[in-house]
Amino acid sequence: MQSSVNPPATGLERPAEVPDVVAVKRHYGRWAAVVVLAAIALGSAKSLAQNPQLEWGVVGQFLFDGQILEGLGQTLLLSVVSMVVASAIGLVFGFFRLSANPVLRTLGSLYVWVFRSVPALIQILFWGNLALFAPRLGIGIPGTGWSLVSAPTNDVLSPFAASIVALSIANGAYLAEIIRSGLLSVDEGQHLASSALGLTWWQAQRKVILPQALRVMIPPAGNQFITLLKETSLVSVIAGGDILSHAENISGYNLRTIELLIVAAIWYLAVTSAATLGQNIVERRTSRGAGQQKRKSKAEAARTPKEASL
Amino acid sequence: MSSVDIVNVHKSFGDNEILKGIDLQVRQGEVVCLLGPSGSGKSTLLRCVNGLVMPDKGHVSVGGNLIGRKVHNGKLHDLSGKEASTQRERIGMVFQQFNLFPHLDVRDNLMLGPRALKLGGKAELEDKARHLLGKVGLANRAAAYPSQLSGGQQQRVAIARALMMEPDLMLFDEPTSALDPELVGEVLDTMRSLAQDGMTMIVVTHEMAFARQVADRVVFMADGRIVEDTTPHLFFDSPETERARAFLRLA
Repeated sequence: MQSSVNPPATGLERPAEVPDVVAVKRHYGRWAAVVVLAAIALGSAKSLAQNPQLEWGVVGQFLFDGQILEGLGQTLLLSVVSMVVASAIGLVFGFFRLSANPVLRTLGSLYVWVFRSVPALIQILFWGNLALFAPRLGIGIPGTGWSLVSAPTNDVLSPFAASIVALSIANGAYLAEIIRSGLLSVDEGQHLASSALGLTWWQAQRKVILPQALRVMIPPAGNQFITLLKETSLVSVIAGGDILSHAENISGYNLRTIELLIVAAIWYLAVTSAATLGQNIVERRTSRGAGQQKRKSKAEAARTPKEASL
Repeated sequence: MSSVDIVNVHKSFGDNEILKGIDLQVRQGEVVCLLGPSGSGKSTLLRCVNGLVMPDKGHVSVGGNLIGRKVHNGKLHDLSGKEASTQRERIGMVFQQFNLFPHLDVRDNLMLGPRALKLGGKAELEDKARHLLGKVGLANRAAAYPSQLSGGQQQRVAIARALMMEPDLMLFDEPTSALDPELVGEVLDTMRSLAQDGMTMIVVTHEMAFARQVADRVVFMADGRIVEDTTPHLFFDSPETERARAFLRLA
């Protein structure tokens, strides 16, 4: 390297004078866009604030109303319980879809197909109105008329319970797909190594496969939870007791429909923002773990050759 | 009594017949190197020994126990998943791609198997892990994650992980093929010392020098059949078949 010296630059054509300073780029288009957008935002805010049909006092009055807060609690409860149950369902059907057993595989595909294809609203209406065609629910032997326990459907399945069943089953189909793709992302060698150590299928899943799949599953599962949070508003059609049901109850007698919708919207905005923030933190934490390992391994790699020669 | 007894093993994947009737015996304490061109069925045969691949015909037994199957009414029936897992406890396997558990540090990679199978108390197993890491020359890397180790170090951890189960037999599936050339030596040294300790080993490898020095026997496979089964001395210096001579010329 050192022996090769550039020949003297003779006979080269050069522009006469080249300055060293690079001009700062100016984004005039961006500034113009900001001005236009700010004008639109200001105009909309003004028309909303000054609209005589909208009484902001009513919004403020009901934002922390007892009924609304109770509904908010139910919305959160509904979301969390449905997410937990949906994850359990998704885990089972995710494994079914990857099973070597064709019966289980078909069952998994059928479940995902049906419950992802039928709109959640229809599923909620169906479970909410179950009593219309199944007046009694019970456990027995089909075709014999013999039953172990049985009770009126409306006693067993309150609108809130029906909402949980509907949302869990509908979201279970999406989670089954998320869990399936997470499981598929784990290298085949991990299965081989677990088997070779003498682990059973379930031990391998629990200790080796699922912990690695989880990292891949967290971002889409977080998205699904945020979707579910908003989807809970659909249960207001069967008076599921969520925040929107309560908002509609109130506007039913005070006729302040838009104001109460705004109250509900503000809470959805707050809750989804919190969930998004939570998701970002969890995601950063999981990816940071991987990043740190990579950074460290680079530092290690620089040191390794020495160590190997010892 | 032979430790490993492979009898008339056939295996196809789809229309592709990988093993066309293999018979092979490996005695206790013997080191056998499986050589042959890629696609000759070496790795598939190795996986039949611990039941990761089940033969379509024929059988494998290790220490007198039929692998992955039992005889009932004159036919072979698959064992349950649990029974088959139990058989693999005492057969260690080392893979080309190491297959360490990336979410666990080195110590936990070693502890996972014996902990899951309750082969000892935590303190006892920790002592054992420390001892084995020392044996493969990685005593100071117990807290490292696999991604922080070089390929050679990872493969030595994989060997220590297999030894944690106190295997009677070790299977090596091209253990140095994924390594940079300068890291091959450290892994082969570890394997050599294992052989000197009297471990029964079946090694699929392309390391001719290792086979010549360490193997008690060399088995040469081509196209799903065993072509030569002899001593390293005879195989390398005066191979009997043209197939083996052609292979050695290229190797």
